[in-house]
Amino acid sequence: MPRRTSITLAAATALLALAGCATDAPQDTWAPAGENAQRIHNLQWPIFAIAGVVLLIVSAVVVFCVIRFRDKGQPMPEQTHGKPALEILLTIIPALILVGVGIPTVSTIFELAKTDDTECVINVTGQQWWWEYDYPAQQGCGGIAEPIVTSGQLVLPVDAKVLLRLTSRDVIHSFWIPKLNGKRDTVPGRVHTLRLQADEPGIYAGQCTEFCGLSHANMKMEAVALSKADFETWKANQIAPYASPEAGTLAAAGEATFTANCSYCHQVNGLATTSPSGEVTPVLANPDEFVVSGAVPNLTHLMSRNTFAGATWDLLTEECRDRVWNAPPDQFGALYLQGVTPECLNEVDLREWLRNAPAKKPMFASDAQKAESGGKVRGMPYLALSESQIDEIIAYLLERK
Amino acid sequence: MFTTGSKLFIAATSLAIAAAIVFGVTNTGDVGWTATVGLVGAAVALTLLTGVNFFVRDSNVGSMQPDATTNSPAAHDAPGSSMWPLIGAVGVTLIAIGIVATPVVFKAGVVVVLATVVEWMVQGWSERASSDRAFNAGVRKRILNPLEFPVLGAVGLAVVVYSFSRIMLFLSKAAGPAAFAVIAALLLVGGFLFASQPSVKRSIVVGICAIAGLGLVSAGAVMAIDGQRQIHAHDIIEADPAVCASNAEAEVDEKGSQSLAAKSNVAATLYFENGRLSAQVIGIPGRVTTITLPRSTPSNIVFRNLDAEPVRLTANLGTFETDVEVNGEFIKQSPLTCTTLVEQDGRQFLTITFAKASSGSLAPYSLVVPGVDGAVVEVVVP
Repeated sequence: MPRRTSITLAAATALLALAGCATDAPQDTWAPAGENAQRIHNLQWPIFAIAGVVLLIVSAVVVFCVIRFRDKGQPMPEQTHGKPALEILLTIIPALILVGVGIPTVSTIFELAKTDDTECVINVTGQQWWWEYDYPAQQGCGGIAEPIVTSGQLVLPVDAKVLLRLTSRDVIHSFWIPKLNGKRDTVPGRVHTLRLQADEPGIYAGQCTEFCGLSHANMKMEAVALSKADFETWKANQIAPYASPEAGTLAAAGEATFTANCSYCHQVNGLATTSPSGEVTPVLANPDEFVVSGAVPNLTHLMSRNTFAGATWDLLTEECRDRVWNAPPDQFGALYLQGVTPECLNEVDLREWLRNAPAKKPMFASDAQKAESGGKVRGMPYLALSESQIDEIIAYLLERK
Repeated sequence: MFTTGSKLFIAATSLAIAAAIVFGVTNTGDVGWTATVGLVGAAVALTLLTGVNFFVRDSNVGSMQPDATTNSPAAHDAPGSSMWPLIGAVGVTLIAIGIVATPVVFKAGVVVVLATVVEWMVQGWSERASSDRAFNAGVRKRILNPLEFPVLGAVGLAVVVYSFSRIMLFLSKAAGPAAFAVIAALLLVGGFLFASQPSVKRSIVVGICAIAGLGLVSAGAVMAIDGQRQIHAHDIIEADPAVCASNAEAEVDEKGSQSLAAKSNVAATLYFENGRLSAQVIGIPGRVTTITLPRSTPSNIVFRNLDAEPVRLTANLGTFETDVEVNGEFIKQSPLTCTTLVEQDGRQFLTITFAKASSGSLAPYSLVVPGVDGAVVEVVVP
């Protein structure tokens, strides 16, 4: 082989190997941060080693045979068949290897499937292209008196055995937070379970891993682990009563604009309209009439989370986001619970989203596809909002913590 | 090197290819696409003919060849008569009739014409294989029998099955099984007799089978024309919500299944025991009387009755105002759905979908056993 070709091949191989050494890899499958992910890690390392040894042996034998017995014009060697001892040996060795791999694998699968010691139950529903999390009323999770609904970020108590009950509203998706456990498909009409447990407070990134349509790549998720005390604070905030903006403010105008343009689909718990006669009517969203999946994110506490649009974009500026993500575990909860402050708001992406959401995140391939869905959209449509309306809505949403 | 015929076919093939390219590039849409496919098809066919022509060298014999007299086509036996022109004509006629009558006849005509093309082509080719008719017939069989036997077998089987199904649909519900048993018994007895009498003449066996087959097809045709018996459609629960309001036995309950194949990955399992209804949800210990289900997606519930009396599980799917206004008030609608009656230790599946959150309904969502006080599991849809 020419020297230049050898050097090029060696360099390419080295670069490929170095690519696996990235430190800024939030979805690293080799860096478990919870009991379940650790179980998988403990299983995959020895299997990886066994598979590596087998690969080396087989490769070495193949390379040796290719070189040693290459065609040099020699006569065809004697062809032999039927060496029982060798055949039995070559059957027993792989069988033993498979048994060695199979026993810990089956054991780990059963360990990961345990649900009887669950400490907190969260329902997870996937749809094109975001995740909804609802916390049913239960004695688990430190006690939940009334259901909590959120999206984008899955908030869970640290060190607790959290059971996710996964389903889907439209097509098959797959839920995966690599640092906390393996992946699990979400299938319409079926409820699958997945156990998560985080060792330390922090944010753990994930990604839908079952191709689910045009914006599959934009269907991300984040699990936020909070200390028990911080989780209690978060729960209390999620069921806090609705507070109307102060009259005469930009946010108050935003409330009206939101009601007129957004509340057909987006629910804000507690939002109500008052008729001239003083009759108060709750504003109830009806996404089942406008959206294929029949659901859109609940925005009651939008600014208590750090992401929007299926966790595709950050609600925080890059600087503020880095501060939260890189916070030491003992300071993380306080920083996260601050939510989005006006100084930290990533107004650029949020404004672009409100101007023309489909241009930012593809929702349907063509108008024909939209027509096939009976005119229903697969995500937020273009609303033709004016810049002043966008200002008002942003001011209103900033108060939804 | 090139015979006169080959030149003609090569030129025609080239022309078809060129035409396909030019037409395909310059014309778009369905018409352009169809025409291009046609031209490509013509090119392929002409290429095949060119190859055949090369192979047989125009079927000509050179005047200077010493063995021309024995090898010339004129020295060969004339091919036998062929039925394919006649069948092809029938196919074309079916196509013509089908165009103005019904698509089924048109499609049948296309099938007949295609079969004719294949059969006739192979027959024509095989008759040129040698001067020996028997050998030529063998060549034809080797090529076409592997195709003919399965196709004809499948068609024959389909005709028999279709005829038999028409007979069974024509006969009354009581007479059907009897006819089925009698025909099956006759087939068994006939088969046994034929097998036990090896000396019976082949022609007799064929004759009896042909008469039986013709009888079956004729009876099927007659009964298909006469139409099937009147079949009573059973009520379905969705068509009669009143059924869900009580545990009284209705027609839908008569043959309700009492067992389930799929019991895993359900949203909840509901138990009716000692007059109480409770739910078991994976991950939540013990039995509960409130469950949370997602909106806008089907949720599967398993219902199990542990009490002696047969009962059904009814889902109250909320109460909503309709667009219909009477005396200044909008009419309200309260959709229900339910299982059929479930006997003791029986299980049934109930698939329910809540389009709106609980806050969007005027009455709570719930799962109940009708007529039993307190047998309620509240459903929360966030």
